[in-house]
Amino acid sequence: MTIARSRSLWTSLASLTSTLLAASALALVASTSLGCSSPSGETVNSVALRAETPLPARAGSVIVDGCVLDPWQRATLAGPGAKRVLQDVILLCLVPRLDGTVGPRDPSALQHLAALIADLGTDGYHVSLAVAFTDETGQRYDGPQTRALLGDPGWRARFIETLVPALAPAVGVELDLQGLPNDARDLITAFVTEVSQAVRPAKRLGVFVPPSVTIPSDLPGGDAFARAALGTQVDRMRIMTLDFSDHGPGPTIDPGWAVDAVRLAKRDARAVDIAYPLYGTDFGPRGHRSTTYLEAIAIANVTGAPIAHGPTTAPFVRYVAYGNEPHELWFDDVDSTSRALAAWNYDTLPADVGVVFYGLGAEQPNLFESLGARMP
Amino acid sequence: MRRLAILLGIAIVAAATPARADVDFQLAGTAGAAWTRSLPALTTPSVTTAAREVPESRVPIGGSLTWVGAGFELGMTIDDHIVIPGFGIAGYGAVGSYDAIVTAADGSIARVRPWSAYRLDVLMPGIGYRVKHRRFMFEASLRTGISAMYMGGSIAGGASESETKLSAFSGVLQAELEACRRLDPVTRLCVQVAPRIYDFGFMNGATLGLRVEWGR
Repeated sequence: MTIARSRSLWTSLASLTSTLLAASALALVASTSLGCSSPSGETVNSVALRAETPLPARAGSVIVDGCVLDPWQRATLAGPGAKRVLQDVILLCLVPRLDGTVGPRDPSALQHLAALIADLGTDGYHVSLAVAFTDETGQRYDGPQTRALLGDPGWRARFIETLVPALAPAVGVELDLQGLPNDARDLITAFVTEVSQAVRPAKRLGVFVPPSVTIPSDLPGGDAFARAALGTQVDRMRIMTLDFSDHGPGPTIDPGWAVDAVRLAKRDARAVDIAYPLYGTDFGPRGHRSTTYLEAIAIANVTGAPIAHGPTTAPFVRYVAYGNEPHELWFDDVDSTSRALAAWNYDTLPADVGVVFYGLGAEQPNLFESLGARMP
Repeated sequence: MRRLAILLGIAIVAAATPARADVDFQLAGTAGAAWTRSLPALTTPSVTTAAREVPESRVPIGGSLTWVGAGFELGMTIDDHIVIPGFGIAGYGAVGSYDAIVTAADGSIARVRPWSAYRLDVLMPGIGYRVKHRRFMFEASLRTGISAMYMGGSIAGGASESETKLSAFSGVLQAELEACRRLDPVTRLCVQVAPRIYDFGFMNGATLGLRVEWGR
């Protein structure tokens, strides 16, 4: 009986072996006939960037270009997504005048500003006011003019005298000095130190810093900022890793370049932010201009231009504008933004590095809801 | 007493027949498919892009991959049952249609191309057992090895990107289950299934091969 069972087992195994051999031969022929592998034409995110992967939790701030919020911006900040991603709102609102007086000064403007700050406070935001050192057009950062002003003790005294009351409703102030030559280095350090002594510790002080990646700086005016000296005078240094493609069409930010800029700054300052643009840039033969996500989508729709994606996954549109001018419009969307934030994991940037988003209102409308859903 | 000791010694020596093991050597060639359940993080060397110098960094990939390839190996048997898989080498290339994968290398956005992947396995010794029944033979063994995996990719630098070759290395521990049919006294045609107990991770894949073995 046992022998019969054993024979039956061997016979079954032999039969199975023959079948497997035939099947394997067929499979091998089939595999070989497939020849090689090929791209599907689709793109997926890797394990670390997938939508279900939580984004690194970081201190979040957003910069609003102006003293007021339009209803859309206010609605965005009222949403649960923005509340999860952002803790600080920075209104790029204050402007020093030629005599050093910090505006706005009229009671109506100050009253509305205070009301706005109080309103944002009810949503849990800490609001700071940033000082833009623009000329009277409100657009152009005139470095030589600013340098001359910073070198005037009377101007600085008047600035500080009027800055302190202007900050009353806010938690702090941010200094946005741009376009200054390298030889303004000592003036900037002295100015920031004076402001620091006047406002801290009652108010927080931050400073916007150019995104240098080398020493000496690779940027014009990059060495005007003595980061080590400034780092002791401010509560947070915002590394403005924006406008990467300054001279020709390209993404507004390269996430790897931004990492290098922040790493360099982190050698000198304890608390730094990496900046991420919410706006896009439209490059044309007459120069470039900032745009919004919705404008980019509208242009793509109106002109029938396809939306392509660059190496950083930032979308862009090539279109022909009025006068047959060729344009290339680069912007960011939920995907490119969340990929960059995911790429900035804790192995790449320490957890104490914050993110400051620039240009509230220019982003894809559901951006903060999408980012908020991925926050741990 | 002394004579008794000498007689006992002679008896022991006479009784101890030579313990000579029956050793045979085999050569085998295998062609087949492999499957990796989850691709490991690969390492990119330092790459210069238009935006920065990206240092050597580990790049997470994920996803599975199917391979086809071939290899050959040497082995031996002791007393027709104990199997010692010896050294061998196998090469595989990716087969199928794959999505490009967007990932990150030291904060830079990177793309990898799974369809460009290939791997080399250096098979190393193990231990096993085999039985024969008429023209059929069945074998199970456990063996070690080393695997190297390579994949093409690129790293973004602003509006351009730089090519890179990513790689990873791992020790391998695999179980080999084999069923063969003898074609002639020294040639067998076999089918081999080898679950990878460790291969860039635990229980991370398997190979299925059609195999020709030469040797007794």
